[in-house]
Amino acid sequence: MDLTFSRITKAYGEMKSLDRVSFEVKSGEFLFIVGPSGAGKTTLIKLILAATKPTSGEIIVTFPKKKNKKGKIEEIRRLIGTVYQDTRLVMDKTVYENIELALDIINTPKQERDEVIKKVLKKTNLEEKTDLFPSQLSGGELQRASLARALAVKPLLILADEPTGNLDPESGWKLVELLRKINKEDKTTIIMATHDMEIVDSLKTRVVRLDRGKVIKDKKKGKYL
Amino acid sequence: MNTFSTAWHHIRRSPFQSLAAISIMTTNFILLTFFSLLVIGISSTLDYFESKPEITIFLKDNLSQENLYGFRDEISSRSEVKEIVYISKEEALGIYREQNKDNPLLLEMVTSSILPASLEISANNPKDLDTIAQSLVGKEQYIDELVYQRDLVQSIIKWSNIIKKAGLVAVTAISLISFFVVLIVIGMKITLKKQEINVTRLLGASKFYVKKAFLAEGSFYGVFGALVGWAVAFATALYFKDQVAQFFGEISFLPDGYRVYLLILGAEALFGFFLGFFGSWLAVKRHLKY
Repeated sequence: MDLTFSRITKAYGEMKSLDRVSFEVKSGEFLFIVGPSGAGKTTLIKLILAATKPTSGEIIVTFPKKKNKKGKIEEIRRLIGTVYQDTRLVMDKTVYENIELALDIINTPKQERDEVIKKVLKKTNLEEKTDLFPSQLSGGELQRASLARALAVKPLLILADEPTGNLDPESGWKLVELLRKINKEDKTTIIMATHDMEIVDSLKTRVVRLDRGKVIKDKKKGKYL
Repeated sequence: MNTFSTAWHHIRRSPFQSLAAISIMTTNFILLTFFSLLVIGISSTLDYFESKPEITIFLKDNLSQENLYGFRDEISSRSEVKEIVYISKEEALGIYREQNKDNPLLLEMVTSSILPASLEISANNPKDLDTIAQSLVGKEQYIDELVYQRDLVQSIIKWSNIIKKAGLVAVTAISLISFFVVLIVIGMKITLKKQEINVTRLLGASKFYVKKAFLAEGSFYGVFGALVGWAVAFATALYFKDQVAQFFGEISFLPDGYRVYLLILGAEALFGFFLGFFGSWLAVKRHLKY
């Protein structure tokens, strides 16, 4: 799944959250979006998910041929896994049920669900937490449960919005390593918004820096373009 | 996780709101079932009186057979008359004995000579009773006494109309209340689950995917309320069936067999479904504006 941001502007009244932002994300990339609070990172993620509409400009989503979609917002969302700082797990559903919900939405046959859920729980090291509710999990486990839900739908793209924001450094590192592993093994495109520069610097990958709604740097594999 | 298990999940997570919706639906259908049974009972009562000889002419004792047949044929030639039956003195005695078989005192000393012969006339339409009665004016040479149940039938029709109207008003009012309770309960649940709904939408759920569980929940309240309401009313009717039968005598006020009860159940389940479905549909339309 390739993404092209073409002169995207998002304004809330007089205030511009994003101002003529243009860049491309190629399939299989691991991209960090960095910048201080209010830089427009979350707005960018919301725009990719079509949770909000740009004031001007367009986002072009190009699918691989076998995943050709009719362009319905829901169908695009089904190809995107999301991991948020506040996890956005459904609180009155267990870890298993939260993952099953995502599978139900993409119409995965019932007999296949259990296998998929076990697989993603193993990948995220949550096999022992299957029947626990989100309120019974630690911060790191919550983020991994959120990632497990995102992985279950076999996404082409994972959007992670400050996933380490509420985690201790060790849990944060583990989550990023997991994302990196998924990116390498499954060739899943990952866009991670963060302001944790320690994590960003440690991974030699592309970084787009935003400030006051503008792209001020687009650094590829340690080098600024 | 299909629609019904999601709807069931919603019900279990907020049991008191669900209980409120089910209670009002149940009350509605208890009332509706009793009202239906009452209307059926009144209709049976009316049928009973309408099918009975509506005009009874007690004949003079000294009437010759020729005069009697002539008088009978004159009446039966009228288009308003459905049937005319002659009851002889002996047959009248037989009827009297049958009616008072449990009371030997009333049977003593009674012979056919003291009971009058009669003509029992039934009309095609109760409204024709007056016309038939008018045609008998001036026939005093045949008639000893004329009795007809116009007042009783009219009284039953009048009361039946009042009960139907009052019942209809009560059922309409409580149906509207049920409708609004479902609307409010589903609306509250949507508000409480706003975040969950947003998450579901971001995961790629279609608009209908989000809405269908709420529609199923509303429909469930309607159908379940109808089922429970009917069951309560049916059990009550069954419990008092003997007393009611005893009170109304020959009139079968409560329906015999289960066919009518099952028809009522079917109609109520359907009505409950629509009531719940449209209540939740309106709530979904108001609270999920996409």
